Amino acid sequence: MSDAFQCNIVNTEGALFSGMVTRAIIPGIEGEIGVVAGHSPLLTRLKSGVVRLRLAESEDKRLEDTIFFVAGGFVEVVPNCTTILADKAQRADHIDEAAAQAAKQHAQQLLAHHHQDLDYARALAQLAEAMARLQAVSELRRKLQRG
Amino acid sequence: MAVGKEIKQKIGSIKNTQKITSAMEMVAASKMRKAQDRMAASRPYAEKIRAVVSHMANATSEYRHAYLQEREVKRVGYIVVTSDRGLCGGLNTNLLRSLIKDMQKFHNDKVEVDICAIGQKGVSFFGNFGGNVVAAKTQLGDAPDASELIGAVKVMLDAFDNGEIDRLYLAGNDFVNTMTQKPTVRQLLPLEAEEDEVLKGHWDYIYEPDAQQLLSDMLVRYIESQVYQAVVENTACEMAARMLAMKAATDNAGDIIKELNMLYNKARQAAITQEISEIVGGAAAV
Repeated sequence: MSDAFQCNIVNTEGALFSGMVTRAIIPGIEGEIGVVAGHSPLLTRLKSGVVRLRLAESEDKRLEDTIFFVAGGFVEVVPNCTTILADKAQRADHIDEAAAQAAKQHAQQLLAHHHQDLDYARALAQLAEAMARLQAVSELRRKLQRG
Repeated sequence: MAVGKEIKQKIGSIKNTQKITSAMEMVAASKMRKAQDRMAASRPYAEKIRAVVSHMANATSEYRHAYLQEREVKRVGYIVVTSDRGLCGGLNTNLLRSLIKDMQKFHNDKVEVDICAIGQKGVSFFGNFGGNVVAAKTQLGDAPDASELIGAVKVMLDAFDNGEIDRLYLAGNDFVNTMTQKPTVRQLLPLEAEEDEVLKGHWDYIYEPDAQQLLSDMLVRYIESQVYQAVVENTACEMAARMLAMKAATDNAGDIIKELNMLYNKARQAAITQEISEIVGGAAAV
């Protein structure tokens, strides 16, 4: 298949995904990027969010995506290969929803009750991360309900 | 009968040593398995980022980052990864020996050498041997944390940024398999572009946001990940080397015990023979 390209997702704790995909949607720092085969070379940072991959060998005619959560890191797109170097990444079906919910509430509380010694940027990052996890879970759920 | 009392004592003490070395062997074996898992887990990231960075070195960008430019070499930096503890055979000695050979070449060319030592053995070696140690990090433990290394690595990167060093090398042991660990010295900075057929010719990335910041972040991350990988790999090497060294020590203790037992039995027999001949001699005299 000529419209498929190699895609790798790695984080510091191992390789999450490596295989052929026909489309990848990646949360870049300046907005979501849709990558298809033949994309121009691109180098950018990741922000917290959801990566959606459409697998090449999937027989799924409903065109469902495989969903990953990522937070921080880099994306490199070169012809025929897209590499996501994430600081944190997880498959959507491996996410602990309750823990993500708790992390979100904790971060929100920190932000709501302003302390002087609050590390504002860090709390925001934590909130964004928890939100991204929850988003990944909810997308996965929608997908399962449809299917 | 006090025959061979000293020998008996000696056997006892060697048996105790043997117990210790065989326990250390087993501990090292189980730690090695964990260290190997850790090494395997972080390897994909290190490999992928290396691939990305080598693509980057091939790109014909308007903006050339300092890390990609060759400079005249007046002073070089080494990040030396050794173990914290000894009793692991020739692991550290082999690494340091091959490193010294390397440094000697620079010394002959009147190039000075700065050292960033990670691991207690390297720190004390360069303390005795004499070397300009500008940064050190020890007591990383069996499960090193990447954040603990950042400080020591930053010293070297800052030195490179400020033009104090013109090249940066990374020295550590490569884990080939349980039996073999290979001391290696790799050049980290400036980056060497690898030949790549697919990426030949003029091309460049689209950078988001701007190239300068992105490239420096990426390259710093790359160096950190390479150093972290070297540390994790060195830990696995240390455990494997210790396991082998302790196995050899246990076997040697067994051999010595066997020899001493033989000696003890001979002495005992000689004493009995002598006693009998004394009795027989005495009886004949009566």
